[in-house]
Amino acid sequence: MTKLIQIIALAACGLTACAPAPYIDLRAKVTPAFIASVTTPMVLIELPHAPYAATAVPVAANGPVTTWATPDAITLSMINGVVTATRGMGTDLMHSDIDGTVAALVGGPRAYDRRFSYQNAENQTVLRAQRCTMSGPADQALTLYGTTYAAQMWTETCTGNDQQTPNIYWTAGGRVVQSQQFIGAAVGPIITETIRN
Amino acid sequence: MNGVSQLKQQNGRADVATVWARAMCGVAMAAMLASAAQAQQLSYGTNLRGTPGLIDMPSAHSPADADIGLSYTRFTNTTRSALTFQLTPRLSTSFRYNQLYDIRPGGSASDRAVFDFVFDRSFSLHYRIMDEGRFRPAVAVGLNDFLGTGFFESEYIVASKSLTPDLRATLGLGWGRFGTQGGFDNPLGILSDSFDARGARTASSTGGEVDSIEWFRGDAALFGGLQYRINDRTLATVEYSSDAYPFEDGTAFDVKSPVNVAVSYDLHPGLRLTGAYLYGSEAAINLSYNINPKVRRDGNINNTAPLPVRAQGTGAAASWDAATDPQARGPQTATAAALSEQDITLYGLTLRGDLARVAIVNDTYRTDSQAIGRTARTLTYTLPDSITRYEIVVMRRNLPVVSATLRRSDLTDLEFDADAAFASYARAGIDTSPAAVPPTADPFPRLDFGIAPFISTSLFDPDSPVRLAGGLSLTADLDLTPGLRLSGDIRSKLLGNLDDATRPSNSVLPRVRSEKNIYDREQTTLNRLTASYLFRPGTDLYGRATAGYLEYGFAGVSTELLWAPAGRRYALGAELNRVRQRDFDQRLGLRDYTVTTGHLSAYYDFDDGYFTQLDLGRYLAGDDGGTLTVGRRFDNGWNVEAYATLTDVSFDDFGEGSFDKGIRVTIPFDFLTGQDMRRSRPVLIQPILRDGGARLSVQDRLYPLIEDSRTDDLQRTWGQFWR
Repeated sequence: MTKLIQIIALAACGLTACAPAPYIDLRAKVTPAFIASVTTPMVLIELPHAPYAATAVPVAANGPVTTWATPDAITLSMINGVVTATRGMGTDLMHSDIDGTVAALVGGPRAYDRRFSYQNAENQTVLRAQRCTMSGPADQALTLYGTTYAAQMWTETCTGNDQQTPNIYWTAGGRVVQSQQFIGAAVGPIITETIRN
Repeated sequence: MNGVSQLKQQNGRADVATVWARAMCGVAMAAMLASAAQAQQLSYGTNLRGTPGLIDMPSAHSPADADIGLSYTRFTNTTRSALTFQLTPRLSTSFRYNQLYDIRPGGSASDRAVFDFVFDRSFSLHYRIMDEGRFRPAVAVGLNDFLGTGFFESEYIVASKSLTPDLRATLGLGWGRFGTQGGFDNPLGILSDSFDARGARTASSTGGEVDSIEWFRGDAALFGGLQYRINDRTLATVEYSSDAYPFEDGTAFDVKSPVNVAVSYDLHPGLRLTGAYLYGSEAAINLSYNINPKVRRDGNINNTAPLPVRAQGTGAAASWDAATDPQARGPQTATAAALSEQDITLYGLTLRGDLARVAIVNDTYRTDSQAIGRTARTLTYTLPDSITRYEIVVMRRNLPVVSATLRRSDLTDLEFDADAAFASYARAGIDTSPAAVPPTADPFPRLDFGIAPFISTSLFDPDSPVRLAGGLSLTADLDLTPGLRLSGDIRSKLLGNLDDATRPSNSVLPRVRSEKNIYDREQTTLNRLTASYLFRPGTDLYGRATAGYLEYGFAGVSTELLWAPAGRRYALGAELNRVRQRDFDQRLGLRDYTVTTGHLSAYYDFDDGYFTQLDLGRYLAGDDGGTLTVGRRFDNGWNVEAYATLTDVSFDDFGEGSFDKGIRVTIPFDFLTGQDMRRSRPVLIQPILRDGGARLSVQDRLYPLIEDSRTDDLQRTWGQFWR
């Protein structure tokens, strides 16, 4: 019986080790010296629910989609800064149709559908759909890592796919420079911030 | 990824160091991976018998599809351990071990013998006929101990209805044991006089004989109860039991009242503690744990991201000159290196015209779809754009089992298509009997070794319901030629209480399994050391020959032939082994017992992962008979199966339980840890084994090796192609 208690004790320490430790914001490490050393486009991404933060750089392009990767091989695929797929986050956003969002951010229709697919715990594909409305833009000056943008803030409200909070995009020059976007029920929202264009 | 200095901050993501601790969390605490708590409705718990129900009586609701429940109950002179599996959305199956003390199996007549101790195992079925509606109740029918070999033979029909969101009522009619308290003439007697009487069970300490079927016969009685949810974690239950405990009353404990009360508290999602006061005389405690293979609370297995597709004409395109490199050595080297980064082994690669044929061994990813997808994207980097079609052949060792032929342009076109999971399957050409790809020149001899954790369990031992051991396993595979492999597995136990089992075997048969507890006492063992050869003797035929130290208990020679026609749901196999028992210390020595054992096997796959298997032949103790297995295989590696083995060993010689039966649960290691580790030994939960109906354990049995490439798995899991 003593050994069983040892197992449970080990399990308990395992639980502690698995539990999130106090979160330190990565942004403090993005110093002017670091930014000066950066030679490619770079974004900072944060998953507040994980919690997790990292920088990402472009590693591939396929048509309008650019795939960005973090140093530990998490990728984020975006069209003009709107997330269309993720990899390496566990329950990833596998595929999506986010054309309505991309169009609305450049003046297209304000109401549209979005579609998403995920893999479930049985490794099978699950489909989700949303109805969304875009509101804005509101002019807002935005300073990100030493660069000031005359940005426009857009708020996208979606129903479906377990989404509770709106997506928010700050655009400048036709591209998203900062955002908070919902990835899925498991991952929650992702925050993106442009470090270098 | 491209040399840029980058930053990262992470917390709470698993690293290698926590993998082992997580695995132990999963099994020992059994708490981290709980199925989603259904906080918004009255939970459908199991009763003290481990079946869907109230306290000691059943109710009509059942758990969510695929739910697996473990239940442990203790009260005076009685211990019950149960494993319940929701085999289909409506059918619950339970397997139960009962330790009964001071029981009088013949009934309450005072001249009947009282047994000090009886070890009883039984199956139950619970089928929900009707779901609850606005006005109508849920209705279920159930059979307990329906093989008639134990002490709990009873049948029931039961209805349950939620009166308010927090209050549920249950009313039922029981037969057999459930017709012994306040019983009345069987209402089914109006159908036929044969329902009026029920034969008395025969008294035996080993669990009796298979009776003639007497379901729903004899007196019937009413039972019922109320369940009230006090808050999200606490449930109170009161019931009227129609089980008078005729075999126990007056010897094991006193039945003073048919009314039972209980309070349940959810310690953690899935983990429930129940305290009850039974029959006006006894306090009982129950601990139950539920887990669902379809739900992984921590999210999906956490892969690193795959390579994105390299679009044609972008990036640094690979080059290949067929004139100077006809064997495609350059592309082979580049592809092997890139696949190895993703823990996929390149077996062979040939280029002809615009087609690349690429054979891979997937020892990492749970689904072959994922290994195929990762390989395809890798090829967009390692092969020139002039190669426009990829045929990716999945190998099991040296046997090609399935292939997918893909157009390179489809990879680019569909990578970010909303319907990519389905469209890419539709456009892939799947072949379940692909032609072989010649191996690349250098893989042989090839040595592969690794250290992986293992967990061994022993369930339902009379002295301890759960025993565990964990440790490290050092495995090495040396492939000398295609098909010929030397393989070894050395285990070192680090912790656990498996060796606490000291109960000596009382078996009168050759002790082929009942002395496993002696084997378990060793710290470091040579678990396996074999030479094996796999081959394809003809179309749809697979062959295997294995010699050496086959498993912890036996060494010898094992041969197998499998006929598995492509595209069919059935397969037939034959296995013949000549083995000798190994020394307890599991080094090189052998004991005196030698046996020839083997089976003819028939396999059939139904839809949605359900399968059945029938084995006929001679078992390790020299007994002849058959095993029927019915199970459900999940696409994430979980496997739950119920089996029953009848052999020519008499029920008395077999001992407790009369014949071998049980539920076996296979838990994939990657589900527990969240890391890709397809090759790690799964955690097997199965009842302790006795000697009758025991089978040899051999690595690389042919049907398990090829089965997930034969069924619809690839289609169901094709979305993994893009992970």
